[in-house]
Amino acid sequence: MDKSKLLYNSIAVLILLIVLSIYLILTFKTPVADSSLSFGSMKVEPITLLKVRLFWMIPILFITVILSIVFAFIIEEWLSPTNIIRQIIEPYIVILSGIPSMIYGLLAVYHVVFNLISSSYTSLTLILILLVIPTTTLSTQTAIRNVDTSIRNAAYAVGGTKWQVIFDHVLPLSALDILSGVCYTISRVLTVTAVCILVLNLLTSDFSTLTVINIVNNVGIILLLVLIFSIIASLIKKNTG
Amino acid sequence: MAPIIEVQNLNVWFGKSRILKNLSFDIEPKQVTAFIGPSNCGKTTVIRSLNRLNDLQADYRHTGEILFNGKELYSNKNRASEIARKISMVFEKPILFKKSIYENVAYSVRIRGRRQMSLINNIVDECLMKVQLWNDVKDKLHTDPNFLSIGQQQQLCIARALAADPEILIFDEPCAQLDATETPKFESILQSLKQQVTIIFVTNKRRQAARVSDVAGFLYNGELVEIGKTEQIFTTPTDTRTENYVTGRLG
Ligand SMILES: Nc1ncnc2c1ncn2[C@@H]1O[C@H](COP(=O)(O)OP(=O)(O)O)[C@@H](O)[C@H]1O
Ligand SMILES: [Mg+2]
Repeated sequence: MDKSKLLYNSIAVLILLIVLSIYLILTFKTPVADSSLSFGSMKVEPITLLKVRLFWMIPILFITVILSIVFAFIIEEWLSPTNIIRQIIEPYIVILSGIPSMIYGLLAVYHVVFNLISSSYTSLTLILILLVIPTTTLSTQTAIRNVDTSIRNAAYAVGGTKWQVIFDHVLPLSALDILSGVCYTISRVLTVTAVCILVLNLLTSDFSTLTVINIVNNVGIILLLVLIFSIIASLIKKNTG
Repeated sequence: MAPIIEVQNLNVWFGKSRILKNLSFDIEPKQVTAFIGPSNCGKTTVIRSLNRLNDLQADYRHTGEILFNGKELYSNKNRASEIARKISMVFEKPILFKKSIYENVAYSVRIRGRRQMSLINNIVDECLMKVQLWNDVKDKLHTDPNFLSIGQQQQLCIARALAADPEILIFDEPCAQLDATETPKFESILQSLKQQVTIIFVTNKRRQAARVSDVAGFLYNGELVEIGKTEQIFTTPTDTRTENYVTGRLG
């Protein structure tokens, strides 16, 4: 690892640790239970409410995925590897995409139960963004980088503009790998969703009604989707490396 | 005739390492200019500076002046893509797009915004004829080019470059991947093209350069040791390094 890379990586780790500390200090002080989800006087079934909220995350997921892909193209095609902005940004993408989805799941539960930010939509959206952008961006970047440079050269050599090279060659050649990354990210998001629902289910259920059927009812389909998406992700991946 | 390319004191760096040192030369129109020299002497770097493909390298930097038809090549008024089209290039390995034979050639026309089918058809046919590939592929235009031999694929690459309507055509060791039986055909194509375009041609095969070029330049360690009429370079070189190279004692 060269010197500047080491420097930017250290800065990123430091900043993430500071953000994490501030977050923990702020949130541990003021845990106020969400009235609509509190266990005593329930008007709406909390799991149902949570599911509605999670359902509304789908369009946000869609938008975030598209943005991440665009973001990855900007980094790869317009910022050279020595570009300072790129060097500053990349460590965050790498670090955040390496965090296990379980952590994000617990974070989501924590936020929804204690309603830390004014609305749990905001919390869920923020967690979703944190979960989706790094992994999708990183996998898209790898997919773009795996496109043979000789193809780019050939397209430039007959007068292709940057946009033409991207749309006619880079995008079609990397599409499957990008899609694979998106499927992988979706499976991660669904894992977080399952964790979230499962924990709330356990918290809010009267233990006499808690059965395997009940759990399967709530998260069975989601877990099945997790499997399907991760299998698709592996199968359509073209370039491994 | 005025030179089509004039290079004055060209220095090239990749990052901190200086790859080309003070190159000055002219390229005359409608002639074959060959750059010869051992591998890693900077041949590819010279030609990629001429069509601005080096712009794609993040750590590329150059000083000195390059004029194309009397105008600054690296001026902001020129779009790099337009320069790369006018000074088109064929690479060492045949690089084909994942498209049919027809579409590979048609691509060079389409990206210029020409969409008229009859025009595209004409250009494709004409370019395939110029590279002597027409008879081999005329019934299979819409099939994948994978069944072609390496030599034929290289011919297709030349046809695609011609379809871009270049003024200069650059070849970077075009025969490196070809077997000996395919080389004569390539040389005859080169000879026939020189009426239409200016050709710059890089090779580490000395005898091939002697056979096909009008002007030859010898590059060694990033320096242009000598450039002149091919006959003179190969028979009465002025520099001993050139003499050692062309006689096979060096590189
Ligand atoms: N993108 C690059 N970055 C750094 N060094 C390079 C790059 N491209 C070429 N070089 C160096 O420049 C020198 C000349 O390379 P090149 O022009 O490819 O030589 P040739 O084509 O004569 O074999 C070599 O030493 C090579 O390592
Ligand atoms: Mg080379």
